[in-house]
Amino acid sequence: MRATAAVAAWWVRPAPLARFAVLRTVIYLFVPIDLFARTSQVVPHAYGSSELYDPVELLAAIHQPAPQPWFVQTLRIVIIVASLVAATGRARRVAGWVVAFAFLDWCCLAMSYGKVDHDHLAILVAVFVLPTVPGASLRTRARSEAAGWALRCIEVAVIATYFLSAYAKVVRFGHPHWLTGATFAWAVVRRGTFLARPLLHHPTVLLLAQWGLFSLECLTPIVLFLGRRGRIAAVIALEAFHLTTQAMIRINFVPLMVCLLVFLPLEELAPALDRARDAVARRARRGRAREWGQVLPDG
Amino acid sequence: MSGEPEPAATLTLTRRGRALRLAAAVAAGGAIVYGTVTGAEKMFPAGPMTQYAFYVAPNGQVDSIQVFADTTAGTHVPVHLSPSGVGIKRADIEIQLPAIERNPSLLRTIAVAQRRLHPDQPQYVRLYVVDTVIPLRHRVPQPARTVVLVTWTVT
Repeated sequence: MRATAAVAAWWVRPAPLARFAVLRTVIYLFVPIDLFARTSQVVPHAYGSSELYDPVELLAAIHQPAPQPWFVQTLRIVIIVASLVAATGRARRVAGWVVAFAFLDWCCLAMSYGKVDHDHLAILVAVFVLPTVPGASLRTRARSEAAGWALRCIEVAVIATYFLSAYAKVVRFGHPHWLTGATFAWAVVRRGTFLARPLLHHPTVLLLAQWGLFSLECLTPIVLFLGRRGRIAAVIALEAFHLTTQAMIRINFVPLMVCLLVFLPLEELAPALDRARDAVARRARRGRAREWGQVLPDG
Repeated sequence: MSGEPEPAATLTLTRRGRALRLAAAVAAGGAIVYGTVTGAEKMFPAGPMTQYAFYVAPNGQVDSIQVFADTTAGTHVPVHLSPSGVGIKRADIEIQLPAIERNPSLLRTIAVAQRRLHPDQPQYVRLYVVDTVIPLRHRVPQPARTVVLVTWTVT
């Protein structure tokens, strides 16, 4: 009972509303980009015929048919407009819920032709928790339990993406011998860039990289309990990992990379920008003063 | 005006708000755990994290599927399995391959997408699903061979 209460308190621990506001803006500005970057197949899928449409369970449950071009083009416009409105913080509930359900539908359509990616879990959790937090703005110093809950949900979804991947590898699908298999060689053969292909002749390096990935995924839950500096270091490490996999085997996890920002002290962004703006203004004033010439003594 | 910043306020949830949020977190978490432990990929977004979760034997093989097409211009070209091509991705074809082998007319969507998305380009009259098989020996790739798995004349 005491443990349950402790977990509940941890989950709604008050968090800075300014941190939430920055993340909300970033995510709502990223959603339209995702439509063209990670899930852009939705529109051309609709221009094909429906033979390969194999809906995910959510779409099957509501009997959503194979989409037609007019539907996905409209859905895309709705998501873009609602996201841009929500990014301003206005019409928080209406715009936010429209984004949440429309983007969920869009992502489900993207995964309904065979391949199912798992880089969208955290961002889908994010769009569903973002409309639930009132009173957020970039310059408020207040904290709130609602913001704490929303940020914690996104944090847990990010970490679950990594940790549950490790579970899938060695328990559910790959089994323990995944660790001694050739999955990385498989990936490099199929998707390797010029940076990765030389590694095909160094199989031990690929095997070590495989263990490294598995260890990284297993260790990620620690990030939830790190302090400020530890979280910043973890974000840098994980972003670097994603940039490396993008450069080596063209695996793009941008939606997760965006959600990783939840671990940063984003509430410091607005004050830092204010300080930078003041410094630039002071420098500009000094520059103008020099242009006007030497200051004359009074009298 | 005081130089001292005011202490930051902490906004708390009502009992109901807190209970609803915790219940939602438990429900979503439960769905994700269920999806991971026993659910299917089709449980998206709560399904298992299957990407790169499969075992490849060090002396096994890598299969890479491509689709080629004979066109109305008399050429034989690779089909761009991408959002900027015909929409369908290589991995979509690979996952649906057993169904395509049973019923090659499922490939019709490729010809339809080409006609609607790229009307100014040569159109597909015959499609070939080709598997490039790369054997591995101690995790090192060996010379590849190709196998035509499916051919289908566009109707």
